[in-house]
Amino acid sequence: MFRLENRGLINREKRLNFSFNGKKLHGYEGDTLASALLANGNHLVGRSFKYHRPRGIFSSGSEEPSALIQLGLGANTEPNIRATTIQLFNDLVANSQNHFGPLEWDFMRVNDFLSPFLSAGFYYKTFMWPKSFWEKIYEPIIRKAAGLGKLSGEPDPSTYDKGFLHCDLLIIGAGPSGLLSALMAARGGAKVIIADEDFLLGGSLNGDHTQINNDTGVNWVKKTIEELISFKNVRLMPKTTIYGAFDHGIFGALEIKTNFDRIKSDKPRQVLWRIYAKQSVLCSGSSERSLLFGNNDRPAIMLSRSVRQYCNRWGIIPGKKISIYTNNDDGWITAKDLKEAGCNVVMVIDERPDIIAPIKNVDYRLGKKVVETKGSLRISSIRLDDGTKVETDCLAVSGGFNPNVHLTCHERGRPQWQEKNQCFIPGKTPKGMEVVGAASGVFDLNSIFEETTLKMKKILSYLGYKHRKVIKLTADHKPYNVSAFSKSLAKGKVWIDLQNDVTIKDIKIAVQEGFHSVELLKRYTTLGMATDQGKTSNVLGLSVLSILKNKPIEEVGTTIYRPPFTPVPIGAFAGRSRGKHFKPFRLTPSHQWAEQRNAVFVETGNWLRAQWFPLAGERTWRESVDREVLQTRESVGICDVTTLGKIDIKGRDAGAFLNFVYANNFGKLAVGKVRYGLMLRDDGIAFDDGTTARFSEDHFVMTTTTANAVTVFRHLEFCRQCLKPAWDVHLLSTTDHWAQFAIAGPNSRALLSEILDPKIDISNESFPFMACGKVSIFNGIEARLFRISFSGELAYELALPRRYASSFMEHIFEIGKKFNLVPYGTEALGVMRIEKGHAAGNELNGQTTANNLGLGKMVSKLNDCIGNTMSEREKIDGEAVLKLVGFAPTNKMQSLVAGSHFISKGKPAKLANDEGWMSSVAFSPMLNKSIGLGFIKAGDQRFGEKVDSVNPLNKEVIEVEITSPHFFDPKGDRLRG
Amino acid sequence: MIIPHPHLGPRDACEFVYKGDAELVFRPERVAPVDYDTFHNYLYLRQNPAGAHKELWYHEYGDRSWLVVTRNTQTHEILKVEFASEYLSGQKDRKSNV
Amino acid sequence: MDKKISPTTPLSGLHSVIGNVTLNEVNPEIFCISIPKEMNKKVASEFKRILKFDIPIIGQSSLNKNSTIRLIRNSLDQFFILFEKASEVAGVMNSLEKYFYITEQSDAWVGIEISGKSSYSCLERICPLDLSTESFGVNTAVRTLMEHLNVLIIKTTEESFLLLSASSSAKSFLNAVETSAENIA
Repeated sequence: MFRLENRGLINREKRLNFSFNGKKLHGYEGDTLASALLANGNHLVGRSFKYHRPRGIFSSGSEEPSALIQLGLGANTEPNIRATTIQLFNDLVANSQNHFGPLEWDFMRVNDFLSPFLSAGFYYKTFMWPKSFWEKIYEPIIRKAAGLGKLSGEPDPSTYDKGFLHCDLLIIGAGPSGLLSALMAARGGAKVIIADEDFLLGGSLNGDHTQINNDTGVNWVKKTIEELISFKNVRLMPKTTIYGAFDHGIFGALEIKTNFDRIKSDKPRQVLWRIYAKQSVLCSGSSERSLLFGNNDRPAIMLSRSVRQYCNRWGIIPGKKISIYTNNDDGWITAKDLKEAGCNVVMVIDERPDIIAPIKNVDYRLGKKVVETKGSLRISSIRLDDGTKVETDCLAVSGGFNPNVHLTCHERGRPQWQEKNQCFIPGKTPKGMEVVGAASGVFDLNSIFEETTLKMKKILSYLGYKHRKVIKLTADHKPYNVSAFSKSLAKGKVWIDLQNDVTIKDIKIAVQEGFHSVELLKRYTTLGMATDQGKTSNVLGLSVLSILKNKPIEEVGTTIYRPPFTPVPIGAFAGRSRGKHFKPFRLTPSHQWAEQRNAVFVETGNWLRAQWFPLAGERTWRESVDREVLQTRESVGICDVTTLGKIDIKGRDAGAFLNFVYANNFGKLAVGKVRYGLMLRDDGIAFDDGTTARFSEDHFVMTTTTANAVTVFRHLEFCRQCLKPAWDVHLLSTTDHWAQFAIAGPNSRALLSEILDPKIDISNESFPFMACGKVSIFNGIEARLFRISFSGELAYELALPRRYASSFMEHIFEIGKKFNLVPYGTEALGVMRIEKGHAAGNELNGQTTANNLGLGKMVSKLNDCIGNTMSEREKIDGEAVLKLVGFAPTNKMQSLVAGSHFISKGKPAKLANDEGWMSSVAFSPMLNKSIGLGFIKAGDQRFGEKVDSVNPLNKEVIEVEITSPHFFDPKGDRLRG
Repeated sequence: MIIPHPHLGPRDACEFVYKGDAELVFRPERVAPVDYDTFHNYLYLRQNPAGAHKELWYHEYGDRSWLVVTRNTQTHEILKVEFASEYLSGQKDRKSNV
Repeated sequence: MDKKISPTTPLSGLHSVIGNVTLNEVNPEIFCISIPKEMNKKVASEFKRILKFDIPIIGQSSLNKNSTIRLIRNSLDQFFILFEKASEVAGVMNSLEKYFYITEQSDAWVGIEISGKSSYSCLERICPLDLSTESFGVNTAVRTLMEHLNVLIIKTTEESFLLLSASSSAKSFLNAVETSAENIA
């Protein structure tokens, strides 16, 4: 074991078993997977992306570029998980990635020896020829060799959720500055959310032996959290990453709910929060960066502060002969803590020649550099620039600190260079965001506390909260000093980006080839891409670029940081919108009734509509649909048409309003009458159609198509509020209030008479075609009756309050038995409307005009209405434009195909000869043949002409005859009967 | 984004539907002789400024009001929100059909 | 005609308890009242005369003395009025009808009353609005978007809300609320 006694914030009472590459290991509650692996002496955890170099644990947090593992098994497996961010749980299963054969002896490590050929731009240059090889041969091989982990290929068995949170102040990060901010805000009475990606709040204090006010930092954290928990106005959110800062104080947050322990919980394992914050404080701290030297990527070469955290927080002995390589004061704190813990520190190497060593009880070299390392699966020795060779099995490296400025850049803020601490600090921050602590480029705790207090005072008074007594905190921290970036390039194989295998050489090549802008460099070399987004590598890359371009680093610039800060699973973005609940569905009032009769349902928008009602013995859908059509046309059928949009239009100017929004005239519609209305867009294209009934002088009821119900309502509100604001018009959607049924067929009047209350006369004389009125049915139930017909039959639409619809269906089918009443679905509805040549969604497809639809003469020439002016444009209005007509195959046995294109006889089937298209087809049981509606040039003047209907997908050609679109009962005797 | 509704306070942009340039409220009226160019310009010509832009948003999941929102297209900063009807009454000289 | 047809509700009288959340289907009688332009200035006084209580500002609701009638102001020229007792409808609506445009809406909506200690954490998962007392007091009534659905949310007491959504999507809406309750239970 590599565990220290009596050190660390782990619970040694709670032993947790886990496995890595099949080997059974154990750790303790409080461990991360990375700390547990290190406690078991496992430094080697994977192979690198391109060269298959052995890779170890490099850091102790979310910046980890190297220790990517495959977590879990089967459908639960997740690739590319950073071992440093996983809270250890019992029975965790982890496997290393990206190797063929055992991790210790990867067959692909040959790539490492081939590395001269695998540098930047290699793929682009090498696999260009022959072109056809790319997709089938090169790409799959490269993907297999270079990919990281693997997806299960199965549906994710876990559940996810989303939510919304509101606060006065969002504090991002619960380190020293975050906790102090939270305490001040909490005591001041502000509504606070404090979020931290770690499962243990406290940030760097948990891994340091800092003293605050003569107590340990860890105790201060504990006491502060205890106090914060006692406030009702504070929400502590550990294991919550603020992954993005968006407009107007909106933040994206991912909360881990179940410790990655997916199998044992039916609750969502992650919740994606949208946080609305009036103000925010970014306390995201800093990430350490490495130094550049030959073979600086070997396992057990780790960031210095991480080594210290493993020792202090997790009680780990990271090596038996530890050396430390630093260019700043922080490296020495690691040396001190390791020594105190009893670890063997063999040497501290500091690049700075002119400092006084802060500790003396260790072998150290000042003004020296590490230039090369040795070791196969783990570092075994280092060589200094003076030739000194040091045997070591763990090298802690500190190249300074980069403030975690990411969230300040999500709204185009650009970081600024701070010469003193050799780092980029936040530039312009999103509105309402302050940055405090190490994230703002301040690295010693006393300055951090001062700065935090000052800024928080301002924020609290801005938010209107009192700031009570100053919280005085003093830490045993000394100011921080770091040496400037080297002005010369390190020699050898020097890694910058451990995750993407980007070396100094790759950057050299990119610059040589002209990719010297930072953004191009990133894409050409893949520097700073993938799961870690270059948290440890970006600034190192910039320092190299600065040398190569001979420009100061601040002039080299930085790439743009975008959300997410750390990877967010797609599942979390999907939330609960999966499978059946992908989107809400709407049910018609007769849904349950139809379900009991085995109806087949079709999705139309969010609605589920009965498509047809199969009877026992019917083998194909056509049999059912044909029967429904024949039975309706022979006697009577009922179809639920509730889904059509219904809009109540009221007001003194309602009539004028309809006259304005419809292209045809509505001014003179009498009370008690219905009229067909065609709605255009202002550019003259048909938008929607339907019928509108007038119930009184100032009350109209409009119907829209099912598909456009929402957009028509929105459009009408636009016309009302923005175009005619002085008019007295009121709109209300009543789609869901009224259940509406089409009752069609020669016996529809007889059937209706059975349910209408006595004395209601619906004879042809008193209630003719296109009449409407308020009626009552079944002893006083108020209803609306419209004599309108989409089927071409004697037909009515009856609207009754939704609450009665189920019972209505039961009763009317009982009563309707004597008329052989049939329920019909949307297919039969479609067949009958095509037989009658009525346009529907297929014809009103956003390309067609009133003139195309054969309704050009309806469009008002006199008054101003939406769309009439532009529909007079030449190209729309001419004689030779497309016209909606009917088509029938000359060979009755052939079936027409919607989407086919029309070509004149004798002409080749090519685009230049295209004359139009078939929009709707159906088999007509009345005519016993396939019929279609479609658009063809000047079609209304070509009845009787034969053309080819060409299906461009299978090259099938069917000869069709152009006919009137009114296939059935063209004079309309039936509907007026 | 958050749109501060004049009556309902700050509301998430997900409650709104975007239409476009607020110039659309200045629809020309058809009068004889019909001026097709004016209609053409109304339908198809837009300024598309980089900066403050008046645009139409509909509070579909709210009070169903059409709002004129002045938004900086570069920063998304919302500078002003008013009801379309209010906006129109402040622009009477531009409007022939109010 | 001697037959009688009977009413049903979208959720068949749902009552369920999930953890610290209680859900009940409630279906008040609902009418929409639109204000004619010429009545704009007289709205407050006419309502007061007929209803005997003050009209609310936009986004709020007010109640009669017995808390059986709730008036909600949706926008400048539109109100919803909710009746707990069907018996009170005719009297009030016959008077209002003389001055305003009335449209019945009862069957357009499904009502779910959510109450209990965890109501807030339950709604947190679907409601984008800040429901805390400071910004959303009792009797606040506004429309918003929950799980792609239009919802009118009314805070009835400190620990209960009435959620009204379209009746056709009642089952999807119930699923949204129940899933939230289960996820936090």
